Amino acid sequence: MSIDLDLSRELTRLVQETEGVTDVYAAGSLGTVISLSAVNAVSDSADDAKVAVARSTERVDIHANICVNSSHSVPVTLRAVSDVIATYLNTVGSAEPAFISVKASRIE
Amino acid sequence: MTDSLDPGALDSEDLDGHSIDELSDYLDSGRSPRNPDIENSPGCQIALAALTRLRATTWAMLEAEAESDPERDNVWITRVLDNIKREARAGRDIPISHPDPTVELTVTEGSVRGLIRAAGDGTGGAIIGKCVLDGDVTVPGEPIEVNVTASVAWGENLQAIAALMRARILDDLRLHTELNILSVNVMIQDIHTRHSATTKDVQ
Repeated sequence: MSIDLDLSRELTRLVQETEGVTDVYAAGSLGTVISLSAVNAVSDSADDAKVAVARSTERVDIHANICVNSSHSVPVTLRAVSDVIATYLNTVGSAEPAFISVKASRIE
Repeated sequence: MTDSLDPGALDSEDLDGHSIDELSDYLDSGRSPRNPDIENSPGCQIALAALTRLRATTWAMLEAEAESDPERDNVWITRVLDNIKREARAGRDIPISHPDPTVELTVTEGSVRGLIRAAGDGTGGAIIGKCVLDGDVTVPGEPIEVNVTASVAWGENLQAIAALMRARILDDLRLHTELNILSVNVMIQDIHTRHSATTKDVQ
């Protein structure tokens, strides 16, 4: 199992639990995570790893794609999600600087 | 629902790999068996929500009119369905501010159009026909005009409905975006007659 797949799963869980978030969609570059995991563990399922994690030598890019409940402000929810991600990355002590991108693709 | 209103008559352009008629069939099946591809697509979900509102609250009215004037209303319904499909696509990324330059927050144009359509459709007796955000929504602070067309039930006070629709749309945009809204323009393009939906109508 790759480290990034684990990271994606944990971030997906944290984002899903953020107030105002009703769903987490697979982010655009998730294929990177899936292909990495496929090399390391073919049997791993990436269904619960929807937050994309892409690494370069200089930084790690995190991308979350969410649905927001219309009773919650989209800007407030997006900021809360980015805060949750940043806090987790600080907690685990990510070596590279992180670039965090959060997109609301649906408001329901 | 009668075959005369079959959305399958629309063009076959896809929406996240699916067409409006596929989504309509999926609704007909009660969303069963569950299609993860559709359920996990934001665009499909926006379109399904709009289709569900259209069916539940207004389809029967339009269908009744289609029986008396099928040419006019089939064209109108086809336009609405086509617009739902087009507007549900993600479109442009609309920025949301954050003090940290390493954080990028956005809301898709498709989700905002879905929000506007939901606000308009919820205004008694009205159905949104088309919704357009005019202006460069990707640049913070740029003045944006919201232009919507609507069909309203016969007998309603058009000015009151339009004013209520404008207010609801503006409230939602202020809550959920940081767009600099110059104006919300509502054009009533059509009047439809009232018809009480029966269980049979909405099946």
